[in-house]
Amino acid sequence: MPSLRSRLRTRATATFGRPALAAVLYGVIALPLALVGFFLTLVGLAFGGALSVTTLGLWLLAATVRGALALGALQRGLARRLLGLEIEQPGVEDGGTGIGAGGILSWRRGILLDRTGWRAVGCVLLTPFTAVFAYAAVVIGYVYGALFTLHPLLKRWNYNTVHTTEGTTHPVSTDRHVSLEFFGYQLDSWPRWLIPFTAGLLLLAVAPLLLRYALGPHRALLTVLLGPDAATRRIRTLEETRARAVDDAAATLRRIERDLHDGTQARLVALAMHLTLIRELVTAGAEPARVLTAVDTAQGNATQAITDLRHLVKGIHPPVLDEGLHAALTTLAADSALPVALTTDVGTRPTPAVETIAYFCAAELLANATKHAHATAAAVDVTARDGVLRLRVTDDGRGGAVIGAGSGLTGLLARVRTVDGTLTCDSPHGGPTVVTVDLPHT
Amino acid sequence: MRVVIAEDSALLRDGLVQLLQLRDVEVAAAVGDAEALLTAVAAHTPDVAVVDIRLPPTQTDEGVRAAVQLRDRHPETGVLLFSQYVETAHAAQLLGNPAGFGYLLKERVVDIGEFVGALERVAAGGTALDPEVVAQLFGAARRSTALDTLTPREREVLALMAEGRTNHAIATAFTVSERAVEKHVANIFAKLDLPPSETGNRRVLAVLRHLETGR
Repeated sequence: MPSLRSRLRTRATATFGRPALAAVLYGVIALPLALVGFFLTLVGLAFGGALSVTTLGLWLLAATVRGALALGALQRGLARRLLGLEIEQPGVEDGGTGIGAGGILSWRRGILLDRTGWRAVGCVLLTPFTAVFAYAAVVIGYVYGALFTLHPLLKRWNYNTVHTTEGTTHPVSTDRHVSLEFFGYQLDSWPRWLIPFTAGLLLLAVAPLLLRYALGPHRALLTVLLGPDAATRRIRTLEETRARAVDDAAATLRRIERDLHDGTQARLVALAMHLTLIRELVTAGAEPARVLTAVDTAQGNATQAITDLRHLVKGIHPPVLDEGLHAALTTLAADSALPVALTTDVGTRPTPAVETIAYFCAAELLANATKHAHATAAAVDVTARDGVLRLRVTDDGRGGAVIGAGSGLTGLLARVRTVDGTLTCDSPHGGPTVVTVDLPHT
Repeated sequence: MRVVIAEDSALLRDGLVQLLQLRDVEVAAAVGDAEALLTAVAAHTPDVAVVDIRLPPTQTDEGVRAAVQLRDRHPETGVLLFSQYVETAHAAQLLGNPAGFGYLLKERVVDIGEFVGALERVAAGGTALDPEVVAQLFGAARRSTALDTLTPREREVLALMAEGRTNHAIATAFTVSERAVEKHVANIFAKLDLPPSETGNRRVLAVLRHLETGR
């Protein structure tokens, strides 16, 4: 049970710690900034729109859009620094740094036609409405909270003098000092000032929560309008995965080339040489023992070359995969050092690319279970439902597997993403480990 | 003839040693890396050093660099470079001085008679280039349209010249008289516009230069 002291400390850091104060600062800055942006943009749009038949009007509009974009960048920076909110740069279509080849008029047209710019304008026009909530939350939570809490101290300096006259025959006027009065109920004396005191503390305690909820709409607005739109995000993912796929393919080809060249070809050269040696030995009439030694060496080379080729082929595309995922996984399970329980429930056959990726994922995950997790048993389940082929590999090893930090899972995830799949890993320390791979399956 | 062999694959090394010994070639030392090669050549002063281009530790061009050093320190020892496939880029610096230099693919060992012949040529200060290497040079010599003016027989003679064969050897290979070969050679030199009185290694150099640069 955390002690009262540590709980108080947690509360205190929640309200007054760095992240909380940063959020307060943001809440205070955001509204004025939003209002300034709002008015400037509105003016720009109004004048620009009114004059849009002239070239000056178009320039005004372009300037407004650029201003909105700049303001958007400022907002993103502030959000990242003060709120810890990461918004990716939106795609800018014309590469808004320079004027480029088209000349100044096409640059202007680029700005005016850029969707990102107009989304930024929309954001500028709407932020005052969301920022006001944050501002209000700061005022209510922090300002009023502080004032109420400090009321017992402040009432000495912060009061009204109320002059009352009582009685009709002998008027007695009294002056009293009123600092805080609630519908005639005065809260200045002991023990009544405990009420605002506790109320203030409560307000301060919930202030960070209040601020977080108040910032919710604002954060959502910024993310939706200032970040990359769905199309840009999709393009970025595709570019990344495509680069990865190309690198993978090149690396695989290099590996195959090296294996073939250093392995198989070298063995065949050695084999040819030993056959020559055998001929020379026989021609020279050497004793049979020597000839047979050379024959043994030649045979060894031939067998090794055949084995090397077999492994190489299995690494590229195991022939058994042609018979379907179930057959291939059954062979994999049988070959594995662990006992593997396999269940497959795949309706229509997936595409060859998906089958290959699923197979190699299963192979690597089983290898991990044996090598790293020191498991004693594993289970492989493949199901297909709702357009998703799900491969789940469970092992009873010691767990602790993480995606990232040089683990093989990162490589698997990247490979899986190239076909728009996903990989998740649930591996607490002490096990068991469950890795789930989802692949598209029409 | 005395040779020193540098080859990192033990299998190939032992096989080669046996083959050469069966052909009465004295193998003074068979080593597995460049350091040992330099030591062995200094110790035994062989006629030829047979050097694998790829040696440990990086398996890229240790052999070539050791060969360059050998040419510097022991100019009377011939160097025969040995490689799994054509890597003329690595050997380019040595190709500049073809006297006592050879470059063969490892598979040439299968015809052990030819291999020993190449060794003898290099030991005598001549040249021995693998036909594959010459073929690649021919293939790359698109720029030289003068090659198209040669007859097929002349082209064959040119290839053997590039390999470093003497007129006598070429005559034997084509079972013609040496006089006929000399006539072919003269024609070739005329058509390719090369200085006519080149013989031996200068001839090989001239042909190689022509194949590479088209001049």
